[in-house]
Amino acid sequence: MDTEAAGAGQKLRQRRIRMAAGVFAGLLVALTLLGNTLLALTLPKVAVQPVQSGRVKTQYDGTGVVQPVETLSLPNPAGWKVKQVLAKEGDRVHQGQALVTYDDRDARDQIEAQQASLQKLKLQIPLLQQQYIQAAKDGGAADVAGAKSALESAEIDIAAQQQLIAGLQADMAEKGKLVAPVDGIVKEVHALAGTAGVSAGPDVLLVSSGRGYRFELRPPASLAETLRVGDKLEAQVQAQGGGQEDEGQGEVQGEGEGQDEVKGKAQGEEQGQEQEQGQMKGDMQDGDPHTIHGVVTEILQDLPGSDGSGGGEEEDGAVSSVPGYRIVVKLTDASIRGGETVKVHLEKDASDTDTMLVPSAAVRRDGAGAYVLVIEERQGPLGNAYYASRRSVSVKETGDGMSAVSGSLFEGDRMIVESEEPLSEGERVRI
Amino acid sequence: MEKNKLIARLCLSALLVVLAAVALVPIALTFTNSLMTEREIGANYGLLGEMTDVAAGGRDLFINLKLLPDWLTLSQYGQVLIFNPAFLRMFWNSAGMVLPIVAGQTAVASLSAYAFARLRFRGRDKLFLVYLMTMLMPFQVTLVPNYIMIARLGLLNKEASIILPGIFGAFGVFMLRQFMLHIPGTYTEAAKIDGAGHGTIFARIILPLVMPGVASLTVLLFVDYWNMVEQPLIFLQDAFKQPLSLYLAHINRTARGIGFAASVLYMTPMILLYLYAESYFVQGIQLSGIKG
Repeated sequence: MDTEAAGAGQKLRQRRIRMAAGVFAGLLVALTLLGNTLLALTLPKVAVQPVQSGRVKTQYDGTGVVQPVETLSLPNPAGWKVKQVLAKEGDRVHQGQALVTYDDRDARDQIEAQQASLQKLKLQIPLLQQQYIQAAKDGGAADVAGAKSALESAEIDIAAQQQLIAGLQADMAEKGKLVAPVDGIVKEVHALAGTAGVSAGPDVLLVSSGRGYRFELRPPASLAETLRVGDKLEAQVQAQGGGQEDEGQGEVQGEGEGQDEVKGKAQGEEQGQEQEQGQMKGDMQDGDPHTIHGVVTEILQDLPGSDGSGGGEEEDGAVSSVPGYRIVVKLTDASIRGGETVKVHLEKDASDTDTMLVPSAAVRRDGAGAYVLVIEERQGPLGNAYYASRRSVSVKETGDGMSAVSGSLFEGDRMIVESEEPLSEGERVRI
Repeated sequence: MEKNKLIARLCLSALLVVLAAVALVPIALTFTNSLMTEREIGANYGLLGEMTDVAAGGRDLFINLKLLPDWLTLSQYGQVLIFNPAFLRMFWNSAGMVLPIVAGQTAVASLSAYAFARLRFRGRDKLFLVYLMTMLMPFQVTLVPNYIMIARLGLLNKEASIILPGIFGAFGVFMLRQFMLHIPGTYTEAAKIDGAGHGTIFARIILPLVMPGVASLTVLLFVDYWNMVEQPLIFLQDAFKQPLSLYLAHINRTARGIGFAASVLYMTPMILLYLYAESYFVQGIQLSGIKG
């Protein structure tokens, strides 16, 4: 009986163990089959991309309208009627060249009248002389003195009259025509023959060619920061209809390191190894584009928040708080007349050679600064698990959706470019 | 006298309790720690594997062996079974190698043991001695010839490189032969008189009688091969084919949070098998008639 009971107990025990083993095996089988599904449900899927060293190419295409640096407004000097308009709009004129002549009839009449008065005064002289002689012959001392004083007075009058006439003549000569005070180009002519001042403005607007032309660019900050006053830039411009197109060379005007003749290149000074390349290329649809050279004369900083929309495209929405720059480029090209549209292409390799190239979307920011999440492969006993690991970086350049960053990022690191859900540091992820 | 006997008995019991504790505490510790959170494990075993330089002023700290978790959690099991698909892959790799070895060696060994124990042929005992010598040599000694042979057979990096040498192991033959030698010759003689051939004698008389031996062999083989490290380490370079036993070789600080759960899962088949086979021992003893 005991043996039978023991045997039955054994049977029961074995059945239980079999059941336990079956449950264990079944659980493992189920988990094996469903493992990938469960994993997919629990871990965020991320897209990774290897980090490459490289430099970001910042590009900027902008247009600017050439404007004269200085415009002289030449008004009608005396308000006389215009006699003849000698200059046409667009004429290149030299200093002293007459632009407009005025009807000086009034002045002439006045001079003639004054000359008549002079003649009259002169006619009095012989008479006064006679009176003086007469007085000297037979008159008393008082008569002599009176005659002498009358004669001297008349001579003073004559001298004064002559001076007046000379003044009027000089005035007439000066105000009778409008001359160009400097070499330049006639921009506007308002004078109309036969009228005296049709408009309230000046008769002629003259652009001083000696002072040159300029245009403004608003490149992205990363590019603008590499430019220096005095940098020489190459540009192509399309002259406005009919204007002659000459190749010209601008003068270097800025001070400092830009004095050297570097065509299309500006040698920066930062650490002596930074090499930036600014190139302007024309991209004209019609007409012959021609190359001119400009010099950066001014770099103005716009305050953050002010409208910084320039001609160029902003690559990264995240840097909207970065101050914008206005670059003033001066042109001293003979062919420039003002009003031309200049298309500018600036491109620049990032400054540092040891930067890593990452997509801008992979650069995250928080209170501690910019960082990139990379895949950290932790070797586990059960194969490798992937975790999101934070690497602080500093963004050097941004352009074309890519950012050049430096920091604890190495070539070959796999960075997380996209993820299903917001990732935090140290989170396990699924590649 | 009675008093002395009682004292001796108590002493023996105390010794056995201590020995049992030495054997069981690690298992219990593994099981309870597998229910801890990773944080708790980190706090307890934070210094595991770290050298503390006492001479340089560092304090030598003992690892805090904590039996009961503060907070019960199955997160370790979740980590092992769900977040580490490699664990299950290694588990099945192990199963895929160990089960054929155990089945194969049991079959081969029981037949060989029968031959060595019951058949009479010239040079039997010498042959057995040679056979036994392969068992006496440690694996490291036969490693190089084994490797060369497996390479020549083109079995490197294949599961067969583990399974085939395993099936033809000498240990099972030795063990079952010893069991069979204890079976009285009268049993087989009686069967012979009744007209039974070797097949019948083996299957119907010898095999049921050595069932406890087969059960023990199964457990021992299973444990032995479930725990093998050297063979797969050398013959299976492909990590995808390696068995679970290499898991412990890979354990490191970063994975200590799942180490206990993995160990529990690793032990489970062996424990279940042992518990199952344990009853066979009793059965076998009952049936064999080798009492006293």
